[in-house]
Amino acid sequence: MMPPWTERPVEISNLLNPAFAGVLLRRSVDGYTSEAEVGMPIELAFLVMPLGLHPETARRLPSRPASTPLHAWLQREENRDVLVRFDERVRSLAPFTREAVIFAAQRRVLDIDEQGRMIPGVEPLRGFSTYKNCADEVKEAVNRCFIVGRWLALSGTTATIYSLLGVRP
Amino acid sequence: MNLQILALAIYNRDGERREIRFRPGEVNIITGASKTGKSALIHIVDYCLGRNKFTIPAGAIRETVVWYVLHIKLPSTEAVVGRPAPVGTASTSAVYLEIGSSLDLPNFGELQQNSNTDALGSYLTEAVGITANENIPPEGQSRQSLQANVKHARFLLYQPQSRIADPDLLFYRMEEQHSFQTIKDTLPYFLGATGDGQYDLLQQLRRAKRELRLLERRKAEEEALRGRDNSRATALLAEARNVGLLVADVGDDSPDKAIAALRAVLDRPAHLVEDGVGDTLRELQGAREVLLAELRATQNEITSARSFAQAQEGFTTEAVDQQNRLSAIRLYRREPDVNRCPLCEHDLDGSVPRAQAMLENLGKLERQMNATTRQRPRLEAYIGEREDRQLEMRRALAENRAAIEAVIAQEEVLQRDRNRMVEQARVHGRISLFLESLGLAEIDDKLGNQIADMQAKVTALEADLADEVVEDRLNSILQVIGTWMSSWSRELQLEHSESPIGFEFKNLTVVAYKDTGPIRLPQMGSGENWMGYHIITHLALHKLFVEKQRPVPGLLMFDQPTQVYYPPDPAEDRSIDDLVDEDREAVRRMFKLIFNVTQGLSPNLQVIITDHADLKEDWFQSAVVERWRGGNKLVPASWQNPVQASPDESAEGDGDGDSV
Repeated sequence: MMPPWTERPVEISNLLNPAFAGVLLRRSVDGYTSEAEVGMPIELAFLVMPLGLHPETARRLPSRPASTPLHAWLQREENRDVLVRFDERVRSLAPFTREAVIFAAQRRVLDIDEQGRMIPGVEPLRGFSTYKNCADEVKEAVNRCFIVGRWLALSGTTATIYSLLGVRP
Repeated sequence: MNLQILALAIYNRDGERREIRFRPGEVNIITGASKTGKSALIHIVDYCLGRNKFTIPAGAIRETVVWYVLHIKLPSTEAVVGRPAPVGTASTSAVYLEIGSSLDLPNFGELQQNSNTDALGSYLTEAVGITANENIPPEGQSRQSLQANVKHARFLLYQPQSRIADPDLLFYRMEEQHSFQTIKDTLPYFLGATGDGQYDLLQQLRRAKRELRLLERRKAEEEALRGRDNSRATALLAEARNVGLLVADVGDDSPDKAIAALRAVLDRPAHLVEDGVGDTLRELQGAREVLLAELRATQNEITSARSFAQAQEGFTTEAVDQQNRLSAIRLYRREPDVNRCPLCEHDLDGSVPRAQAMLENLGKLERQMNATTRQRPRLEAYIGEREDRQLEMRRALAENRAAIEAVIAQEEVLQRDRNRMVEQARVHGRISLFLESLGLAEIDDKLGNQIADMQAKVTALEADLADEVVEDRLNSILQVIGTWMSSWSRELQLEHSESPIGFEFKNLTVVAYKDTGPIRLPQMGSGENWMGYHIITHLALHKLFVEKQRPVPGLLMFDQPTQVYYPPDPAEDRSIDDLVDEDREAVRRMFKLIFNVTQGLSPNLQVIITDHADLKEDWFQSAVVERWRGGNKLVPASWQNPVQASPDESAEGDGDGDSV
């Protein structure tokens, strides 16, 4: 489990703070629900940051998820190395994801429906567009996570996605 | 058990589903009248397994079906593969793929593209266990080298009605351009003649050759410096004598001796006034640190890639391991914090189902993931690239070490004596320069040894990879296949079965070895023999694939083998009772053989036969999965608009218009 906020290495607690991670999750859920009629299975939340924030991976994400399925993208020779240690990344980011879900849900930015799927909460992200443009790095991260959300919605069942990425639950 | 079919389903525009379930590891028979869709099955299976071209014949199927779906069993998981029917004349590469340990046929609404045929091909190639391999055409042939993949394995699975009794062509799609050569290029791998380690050996050979070239170049440079005739060394020795660095008259009649003498000069105290040695040394040592760090980093990348590959392996086999189940908890357990948890305070009576819903989902996922396979990326290439890089760094390190040693040696020489005559120092300097420029070869002709070692390595690798070795193995494997074919041909009482029968790799045909010379399939007579030989060849190949655990789907589909016993102009339905006793007996023998071979390989071979025949015996009846008679067909009658009579076009080369 996560050490208390004050005892974490300062860089990590700042880079992966639950407010920011919550925004990323909210954007990915927005992306997901723009493609699917249902919410995003909560298990998929754990893949958002490893795909959208890991620089080597994020750099190569397709800009048009509908034309490049996740599976086709993974089979490309130049993307093979994404799979190396991917599940380690998922594992190490899982506590931050979990914390972010609770943080965002407490603040009604995310909600979880009866089927255990994440849906956009009733609260909008106030001043999101201003915040988004505060830095390229932030803008890129939120845009990428939106794309990751759309992409996951187009990638088949949760079990299929997990096994294509080589992640053990 | 390798790839086999659990179910096949078609969906119409209204989302209605028609499914056919198959039993893995057994013979499955679909018996039925003409024009019920029997011949379409092979085309549907091939399309679902990734063929881009849509070859399903025109007719009711094309008019009504919008999705084709296969539920397949793979060595360590199950998969559902769906392909949409192409719209109009455009072909599509869209694929729906679902992976998990126990799946159901999807509902119509779930079918949407999440993959494509290329990715499906790579996935299936890995899932059936095809490892990196390469077929290099013999010298002087211009063909590209070829890597066998699942696409090539598909040539070995089907015998459509138009092919099963073809005297000239033995395999599916063999009539197409390049197919003959492609089958010949990949079959040795599937039969296990080339061996799975071949690709690795090839990579090693390429590296060794490159290394050898570098060593030889260095030797050549060294020889150029040294002077073939030893002139430079001799001249330097003379100079050394002149300034009194060398008293004894040493032999300089061979390069080695002369160089040893020069080294001896260097080992004696000399007066070298040179500064900056310390700096050089520091720089060199700095460079060394950097190189070592890079080397370690690369080593880590290689190690983690390798352990990734191993972890994958471990995972697929220990699927039901308790620990994996427990590790799911690490990922999902929320701290039950009543005060804070928004998921529970949100709405009082919704709280329990909500947490439960999540847990249920996770439980479901866990069950699904329990035996799932992980994608094994082709890490060989990734690792090979890094090993190359390591090789470069090691060489740089060796050079760096030699340079450091040279500098240190110089420094020692410096400190030993600072009162040498300038003259001596000059000669000394020239000698040491000359010796250093001889490269990294140490006193004992290390370079020569390295070259000899590397040459030995190259020779050994080439021997392992030699065509003769592969050919030798292939011939031996074909002998084994031949013995099975011979005994089965006697069982079926085929023509020429009194002679040894074999599969001739050169022409991809069947041959009977007579004392007067070989007789090949096209020279044999009558449809029954052609059909019989097609069947025993495919059974023998698959028996070998199974027994050697080769990465080929454990699936054979035979379409209408009994057609050869009927006149080409068929009645509405053919009954086994219409045949003369002798033919009826032959049909029975043929089925019995297929059943026996399949049983002997159980559960590793699944055979699907579509035929008119419907034998009364129990063993046959229990294998019938569908009976398409009396209006029962592949496409349900209700799907077809009765107002629109569709023109029945027949499939390519489909003799009895069996196209619906």
